[in-house]
Amino acid sequence: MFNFINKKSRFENCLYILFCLIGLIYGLITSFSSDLSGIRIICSNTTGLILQIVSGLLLVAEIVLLLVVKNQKIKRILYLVTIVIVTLVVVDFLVLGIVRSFVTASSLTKAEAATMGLNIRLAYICLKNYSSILMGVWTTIWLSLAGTVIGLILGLLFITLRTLEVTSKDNEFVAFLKKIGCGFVKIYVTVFRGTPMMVQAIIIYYFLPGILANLLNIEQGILNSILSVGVAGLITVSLNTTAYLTEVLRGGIESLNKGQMEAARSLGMPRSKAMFYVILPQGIKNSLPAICNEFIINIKDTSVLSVISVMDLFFIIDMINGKNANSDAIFIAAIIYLCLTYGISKLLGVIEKRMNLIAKPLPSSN
Amino acid sequence: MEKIIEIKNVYKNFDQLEVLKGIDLDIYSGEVVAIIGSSGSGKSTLLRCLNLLEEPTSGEILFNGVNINDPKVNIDKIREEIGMVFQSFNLFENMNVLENCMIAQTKVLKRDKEEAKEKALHFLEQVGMSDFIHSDTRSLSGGQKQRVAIARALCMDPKIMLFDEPTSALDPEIVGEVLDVMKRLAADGMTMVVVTHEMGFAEEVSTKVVFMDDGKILEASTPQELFNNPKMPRTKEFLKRYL
Repeated sequence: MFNFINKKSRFENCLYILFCLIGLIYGLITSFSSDLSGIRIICSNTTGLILQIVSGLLLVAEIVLLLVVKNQKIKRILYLVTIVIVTLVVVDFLVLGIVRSFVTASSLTKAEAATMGLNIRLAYICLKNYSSILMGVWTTIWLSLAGTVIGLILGLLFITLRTLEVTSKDNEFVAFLKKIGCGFVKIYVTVFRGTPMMVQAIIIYYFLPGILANLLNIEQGILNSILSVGVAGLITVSLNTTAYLTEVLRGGIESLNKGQMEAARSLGMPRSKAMFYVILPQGIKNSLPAICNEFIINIKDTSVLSVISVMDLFFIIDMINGKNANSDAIFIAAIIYLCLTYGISKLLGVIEKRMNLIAKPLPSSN
Repeated sequence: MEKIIEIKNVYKNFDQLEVLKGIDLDIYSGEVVAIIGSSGSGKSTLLRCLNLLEEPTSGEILFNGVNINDPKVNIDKIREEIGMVFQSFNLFENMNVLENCMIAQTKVLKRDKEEAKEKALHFLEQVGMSDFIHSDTRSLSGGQKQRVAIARALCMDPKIMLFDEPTSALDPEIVGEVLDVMKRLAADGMTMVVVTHEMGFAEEVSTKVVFMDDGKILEASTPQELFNNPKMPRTKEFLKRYL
């Protein structure tokens, strides 16, 4: 775990010196601050002073080491201590800093909070609006997830249509239908990848009921009541994701060796069975990283659905900004979106790794 | 002896390129036909026409009397009786060894699982891969993969086995283990058509050797005849470089 301490690069050595400087400065700052000493690792005065002295010593020692002594063992110990100090500083500054902001904000009125620093203003907004913010987060997550899943299912359907081959056995009608199917998917993908999701959302929400009412002769009022913003939002994300995933799947399938299909056909498998049992399973497995990536992209992209008043995270934050007549809350959106995308991409990374481990055993010792 | 395959005046063009220029050949049950020739002579294309992986531009290929190029013919049914082994193995990578051998039996021949498994185990034992039945295909060496590929094709109980340069992608040390399997297959009476560069195999095991050059069959006779008394000058030239 501590392998990085052994690296001999000059720049990494300088990094540790920088860390010591940070420890020194932070110790200086906290020695003179006294607010909320109960929620601190590095309390004011005493521990701040200790931090200063230790950091200062380390700084001198490391500069000396860098320039003069080459003893690796002492270096390693010093760097270890530096890492510990930096971790303490980070926890005290960021983690406990957030806690301190919330604690401070909980005892303020609106007028008082408006005069404080950004961290306390954000904490105040979170405390006062946590239920709507949580609802926004939930809407964002389920819209992205459901949209990606539906997009994958439709994408599989579309890719089957797209890859239909006209064989010499087909009569003219079947050949014609196949060509129409393939052409439809191509046009669909071009349209839905070529227009912004925001534009698609507006068209689907405002115009789809009218179009369907005329086509299917249903009362438009009924369609309007079915197509709430949530439903329209889901339809938009799904249709949009379908277009992208169709192309992803196409790439996953076309990257397969042609021999797989040839082997399946030469065993007597009709094309449909070969696709189902051999080609698609491998194509989907190849496409999995891109599919997971699409899910993460959707988390951010659902923010554009706010234009039709879908109550996703961005819409809620926008509403809060309007209520407060300033734009502070946007940082909450940024932080939450970052946590969502980072957390989910890490989680999916773990899942992908486990699946690959099952699929690819270690090579035999032949 | 029954005629399994009749190739009648087959031409094959890829766009402008003429690869097969009028092939006539009969393959009888029990024969082991080795097709030799230099690269680009059309050997693989001819082999692939036999199970319609390539469609001949003109001419007829009759399998048990049925023209396989006829649109009304169900080619999948015919392919059930023709086994093919590829140069690059083409094992299904989303399945392990046993599943590779069972999938076509259960999904195409509609055998039940127990019967398919028994058959698969039988042929995997015959090729010497019994210890690897649950292995992932990617952890096998080239020779092991090819033997599994042969077992997979045999599980369909084909009437004829086609081999497209089965040992060309293998280390010289491993070539032997695959050739041994093929020799045993031939001795058991399987009809085989083998496109190969292994002249030793062609001489030892085959009953007929066909020499192809520039899309035509130049000479076809028994291995003794062809290797010891080649008649055409081109054949002599080719064999000189290989032997």
